[in-house]
Amino acid sequence: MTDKKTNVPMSQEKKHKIGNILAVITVLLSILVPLGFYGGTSALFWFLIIVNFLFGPCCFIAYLLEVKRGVFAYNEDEE
Amino acid sequence: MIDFKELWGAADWIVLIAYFVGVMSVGFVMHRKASKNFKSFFVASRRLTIPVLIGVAGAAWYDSWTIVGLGELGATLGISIVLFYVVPGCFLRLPLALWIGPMTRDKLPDWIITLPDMIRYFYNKPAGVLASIVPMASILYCCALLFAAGDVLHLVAGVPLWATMVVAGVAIIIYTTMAGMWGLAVTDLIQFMVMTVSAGAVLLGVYLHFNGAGGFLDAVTASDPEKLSLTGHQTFATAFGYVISAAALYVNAQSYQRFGAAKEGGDIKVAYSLMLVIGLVFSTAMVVAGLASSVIHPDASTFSEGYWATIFEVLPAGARGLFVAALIAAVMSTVSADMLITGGILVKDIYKDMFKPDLSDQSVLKGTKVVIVLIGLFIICGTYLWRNGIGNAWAVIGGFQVAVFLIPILGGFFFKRKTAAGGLTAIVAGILFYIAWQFMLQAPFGIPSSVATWIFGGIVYFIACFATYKPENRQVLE
Repeated sequence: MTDKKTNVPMSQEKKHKIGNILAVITVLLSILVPLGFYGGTSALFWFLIIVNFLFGPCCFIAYLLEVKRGVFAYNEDEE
Repeated sequence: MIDFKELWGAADWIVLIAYFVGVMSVGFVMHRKASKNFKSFFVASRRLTIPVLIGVAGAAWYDSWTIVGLGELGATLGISIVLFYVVPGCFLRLPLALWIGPMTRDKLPDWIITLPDMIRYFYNKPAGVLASIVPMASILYCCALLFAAGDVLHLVAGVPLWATMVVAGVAIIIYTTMAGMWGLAVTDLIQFMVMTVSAGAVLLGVYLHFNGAGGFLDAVTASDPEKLSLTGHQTFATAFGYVISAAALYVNAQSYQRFGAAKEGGDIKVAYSLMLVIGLVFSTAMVVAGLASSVIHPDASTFSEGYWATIFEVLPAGARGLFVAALIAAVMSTVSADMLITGGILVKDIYKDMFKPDLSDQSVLKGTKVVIVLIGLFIICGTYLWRNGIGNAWAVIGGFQVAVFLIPILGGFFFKRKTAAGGLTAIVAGILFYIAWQFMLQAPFGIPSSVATWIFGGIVYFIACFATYKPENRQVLE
C-alpha cells in the first residue's frame, strides 16, 4: 500500500493506525448488523448486497495495481 | 422441488470451467516464483501485501462451512445465529488481527516458517514435534470438505460423485504443487472475489424474490416468528459451543502461515481487520440465504436440497454457476492450504528435523511437493472410500488440537515467564487429560472436553512455568 500523493510505501505506524480504526469499525458493525434486522432491514439488505458485490473485485483490482507497481517483482531480483 | 439439471445450463458450465481454468493458470504463472527455495514456496518469500492478505485471510477464516453450514444454522435457528456465532466470532478474531498476527510477523525470528517451528521457538524441540499433529489432523477435515463440494456438483449438475472429486482434487494438487503459497495467495484472492460476488448476487435475488426486505420479514414471521428473534431457538449450551468453536482459529496453522507470509505486521493488521468487516457482512448474507431457504422450501427433504433449490430459484443462469463455483472455491482454498502446510511440516519438521538434519533446502522443497501429491491422492481416495470414518476421526482430533495447544500458543506470545519445561509439560498433560476426559470419563458434568482441558492444561502450564522459571532464560517478544 502506498501513499497516493507521494507514491511512497505507507509507514508501519500509519498501517497500525488504520488497522485500529478498522477494528473499531468492526466492533461498531458487529453491533449495528444484528440491530439492523429490527430497524431498517431494507437498508441492511442493501448494505450487505453492495459490500459483498464490491469488496472482492476491489481487492482484486488493488492486487493488480500492486502487481503493476512491481511490488512482487522485487522478489525475483532478490532471490 | 425444482429440477436442478433443467436449470443448470451452458452459462453455468462456462462460469465453472472459466473458474477452473483461472486457478490452474495461476499455478503455471507463479511456478517460477515459488520454486526458488522452501521459504518462497511455503510463505511466498514473506512478500504478501494488503490486497492479497485480505484474500488469504478470507480463505483461511471463511470456508465452505460459512456458505453451507451457516446457511443451515440460519434456516434452523434464524437470525439469532448472527448474535451467537457471527458476532462473537468477529470479536474473538480481533486479537489475532490486532496483536498475534503482527507479532508473528514482526517479533519472531526469520527461521520460523511453520507452526511447529513457532512452538519449538517458544518451548523446545519435543514440543514442536508434538505440535506437528495439529496441522496434519486438518487433512481429515479436507476429506469432508471435498465430499461436500462433490456432493453439491452431483446434486445440481448430475456429474458423478467420483468425477467431481477427481477433477477438483487433481486441480488442487496441480496448482499447489506448482506454485505453493505464491499460487495459493492469488487463487485465494480469486476465490474470495467469487465468494463475495456470489453472496451479493444471492442476497439481491432473495430481496427481489420477496419484493423487498418487508416481504422477506413478513414471510419469515408467517413461517416461524422465533427465527426473527435475536435469541430465538438458542440454548446456553449451544450458544457456548459456538463461542468455543471460534477459539479453533488460535491453533489454526493456516492463520500463522499466512501471518508469516505477510510483508509487514502493519499489513496484517489492516488486512485482517478489514477482513473481519467483510467476514461479518459475508456471514450475515449466508445466514439470510439459509433463512430464506427455510421459507421458500419449508418442505424440502433435506436442508441441502432446499438451500440449493432456493439458490437456483433466486439466481439467473450463469450466476448459479458462480455460486456453485464459490462453494468449490471455498473448498479448494482450504484443502490446498492444508495440503501445503501438511506437506511442509512432514518434510521439514518431521523428516528433516528428526531424521535427516543435513537435508538441503532444495531437497526439502522437492520432498514437500512429492508429499503434497501423495496427500492429495489420499484426500481424493479418503473422501470417496472412507468418508464416515474420517468424519468421526476429525470430530475427535479437531477438538483435541484446540484443547491441547490453545494455552501453550497464547502463553508463548504473551506470558513472560514461560519455560520450555512448562510448555512441554502442559502439552503432554493436556493430551493425556483430554484422552481421559473425553474417552474414559465420557465428558462428565456436561463440561466439554476442550473446556476441561483448557482449565487443567492452564493450571499445569502456569505451575510448571513458575516452578522452572529462571530470569536468565527469560524470552520476551520485544
